[in-house]
Amino acid sequence: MARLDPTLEEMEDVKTAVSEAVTNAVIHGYQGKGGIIYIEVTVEGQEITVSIRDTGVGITDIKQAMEPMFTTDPDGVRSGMGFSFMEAFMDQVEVKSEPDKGTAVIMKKKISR
Amino acid sequence: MAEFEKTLQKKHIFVVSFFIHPDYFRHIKNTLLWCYGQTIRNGGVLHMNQPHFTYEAEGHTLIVHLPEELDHHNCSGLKYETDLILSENYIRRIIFDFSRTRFMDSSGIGILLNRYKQMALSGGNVAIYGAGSQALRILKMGGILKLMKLYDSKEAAVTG
Repeated sequence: MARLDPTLEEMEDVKTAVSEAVTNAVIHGYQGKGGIIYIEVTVEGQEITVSIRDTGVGITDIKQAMEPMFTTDPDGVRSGMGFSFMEAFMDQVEVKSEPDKGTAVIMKKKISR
Repeated sequence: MAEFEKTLQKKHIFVVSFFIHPDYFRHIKNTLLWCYGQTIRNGGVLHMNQPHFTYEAEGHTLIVHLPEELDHHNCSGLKYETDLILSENYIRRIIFDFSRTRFMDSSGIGILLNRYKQMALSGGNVAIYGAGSQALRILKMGGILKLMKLYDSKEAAVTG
């Protein structure tokens, strides 16, 4: 990403979005039990694409999962803002998921120069 | 690798332990001071990447010094630890110190909201100081600044 010469803020945006997606994979995808999270980054022109994939339980209702403040957490510690943050910090967020197969979050962001 | 893990463990042993009784707050404060001394002697680990929360009490105020990174991974202990302190002490105000925090995500928002609700139930309040630009953006987006007052310094936050 460095060769796109991003601003500090753009770096932080991507970092936050990645943190959200990885957290989802750890908590939801693998139910806190652990597993491999695949992170792939591609750069096309000034656009960075980050894909974060797990082979966990998957999401049955993606639309509901992406609703702001929606959370399955019973303890009231999770904010339910993960996908909202990803959408706020990246230009485009796409979620592909299949129950028992896993979830992939593909996020794109244009880096200004 | 084993050697590396050993040094890691060695560097992280200065976690404040909890035997909370009102009298123990002085003990905690002293332990904290001791921790700072130790970590400085150990090459300033505390300032590099201290993954733990440290707690400090001033009267009925509890100050929580947040770690450098506030994500799901290191948020997990905060609810449990503050619950423990709140159950055994009369705390009317929690102040979160962000001055060391360089990164936070929605996990941080979740835990702050949770602590806010807990304090609101008992008629207390929550404040923040020392937030840098990244944390501030997240706090704003998460709606936290509508619920908690933001201060520039610890002194201002404690005075209220």
